[in-house]
Amino acid sequence: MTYKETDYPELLREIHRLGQEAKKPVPAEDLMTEVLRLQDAIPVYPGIISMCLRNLFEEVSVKDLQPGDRVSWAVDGGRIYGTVKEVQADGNVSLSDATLLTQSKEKKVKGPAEKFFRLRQDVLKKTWPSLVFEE
Amino acid sequence: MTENKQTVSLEKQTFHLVVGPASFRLVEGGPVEVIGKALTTKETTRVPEGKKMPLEVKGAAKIELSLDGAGKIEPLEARTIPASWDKIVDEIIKRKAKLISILGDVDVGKTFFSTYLSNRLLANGRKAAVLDADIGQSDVGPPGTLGLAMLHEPVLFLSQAVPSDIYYVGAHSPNLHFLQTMSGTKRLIERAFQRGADHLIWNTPGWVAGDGGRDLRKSELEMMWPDAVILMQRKGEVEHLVRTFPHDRVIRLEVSKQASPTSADVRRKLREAISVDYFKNRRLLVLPFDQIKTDRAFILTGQQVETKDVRTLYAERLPLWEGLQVVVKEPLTAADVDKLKKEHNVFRVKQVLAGSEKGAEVGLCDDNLDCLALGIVQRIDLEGKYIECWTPLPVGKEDKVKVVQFGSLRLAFDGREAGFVEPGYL
Ligand SMILES: Nc1ncnc2c1ncn2[C@@H]1O[C@H](COP(=O)(O)OP(=O)(O)O)[C@@H](O)[C@H]1O
Ligand SMILES: [Mg+2]
Repeated sequence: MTYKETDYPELLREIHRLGQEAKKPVPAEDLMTEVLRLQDAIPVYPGIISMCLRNLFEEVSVKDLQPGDRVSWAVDGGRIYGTVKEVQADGNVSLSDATLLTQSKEKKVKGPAEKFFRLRQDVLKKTWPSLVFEE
Repeated sequence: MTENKQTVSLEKQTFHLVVGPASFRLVEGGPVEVIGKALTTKETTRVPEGKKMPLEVKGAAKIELSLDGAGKIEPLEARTIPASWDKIVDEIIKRKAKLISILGDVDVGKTFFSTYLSNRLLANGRKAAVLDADIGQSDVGPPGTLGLAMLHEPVLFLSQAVPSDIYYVGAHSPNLHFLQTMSGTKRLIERAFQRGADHLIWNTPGWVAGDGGRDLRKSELEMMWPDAVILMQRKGEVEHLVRTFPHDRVIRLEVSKQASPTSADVRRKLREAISVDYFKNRRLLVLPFDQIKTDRAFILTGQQVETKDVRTLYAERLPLWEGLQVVVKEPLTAADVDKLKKEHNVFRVKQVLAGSEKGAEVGLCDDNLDCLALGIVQRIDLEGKYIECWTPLPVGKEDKVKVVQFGSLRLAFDGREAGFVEPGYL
């Protein structure tokens, strides 16, 4: 064991942690956009980027929402996120670019006409086989 | 800003603390000692915001004092310099310790002690030099550099000593700049002894914990192997740095009760003021490509090539797998990049946005890689084949500039901080 010369490993874990948190349903694209914006602003301080990510979300109530805010919240069995277009007097929020992600234990769907994208389980082996070790 | 000028009588054998922003001058009487230096009636001392100066009145004296804003003078019960410090000075002289490393957390008084030690060594007729390796809170040389000063007379601030040599690191923190920090430290230590120093006081930055802090401080100790390590700590908090270092070279130093924290805000202000002052006599310098070589950047290190892509202003083929570096008017699409890869048979295309070099801070070095001055890039003209930069380099020295070293700092042309350049971007 020796010391790490950069704070990037910690930053990666922080990004993963944020993406995993159920209470703050974070769209991965938003998260990565923000990480890159911070990286462009302070490319020499990955440790401070990790600290910023811990403060990335704030809890606000409906009355504090402004048009243009990126918001997300958990709904039964899924997540909603989008950009606030308008907050109505009755407390309903209309969103633009809204995404509703639902999760189901099982689902039967029709496949795409063309091809699937499959997540590779063996990407390291494919890319750099000499770094793959026996269990 | 309120300013309030007054003459203050100080009784003999008393101690006082001047808190900045303030300035003072000895009018009559004395001696009055500050950080091991005796005041004269000729010089006015300015204490900036965030700094303070303890006065030791050895004989009754009158001082003229101006206080700005939060500036003040307050009586002290006792000397702020622990008696143990003087024993350490004697010890260093007795041991003939040449390289003396000062290690400790931020705000424990490393700069203060370095100043005191320098002044005491000078008073003992020794040739003292200071290597200021604190690139974020620079005392010697501008921020982002390591600075070496050969001391000829006692000083109250190390910043009053004229640097004999500076080394451009290119950042305010050694984080992501370990190697430059190490090579620069090595070069300037050798330089100090070539210049005839009996003792070199090596003041290190207060990054002493965590992976990076431990790694850098420990590797530096291994590489430079100082004759004495002065450990400044309150409760043993930096012992971890010297666990494997010869224990007879480690000297533990009591931290003064007066050592107090400086906020990140004040640090930035202090740093920026030094930078603005450094660049105040700037002029625009044109460095033709055929006079200089670029360093710590990819740009101008490969073979220039032509491309069919109309948005590419300039392209060069870099060595081996580094691929193609292109300077573009606007970011290329993935399809454009693919075309370029095919056209030039490379795996990578590295894009630099035209104009993004503006404000990049650079070190201007001679052919021995000694830093002559810093510069702020106005532009790199790839057609005209020159780099234009703002620099306080003295007139007549422009022909000496042979190497332009890039770093990670971005400045406004007057020296104010304006952000960063990603390492490896240019
Ligand atoms: N012995 C001392 N007497 C009076 N003030 C001190 C003493 N040591 C440190 N200070 C003050 O404490 C502050 C921090 O000290 P400094 O030397 O800048 O710390 P460092 O270089 O370790 O970050 C400064 O304002 C300095 O003047
Ligand atoms: Mg200091």
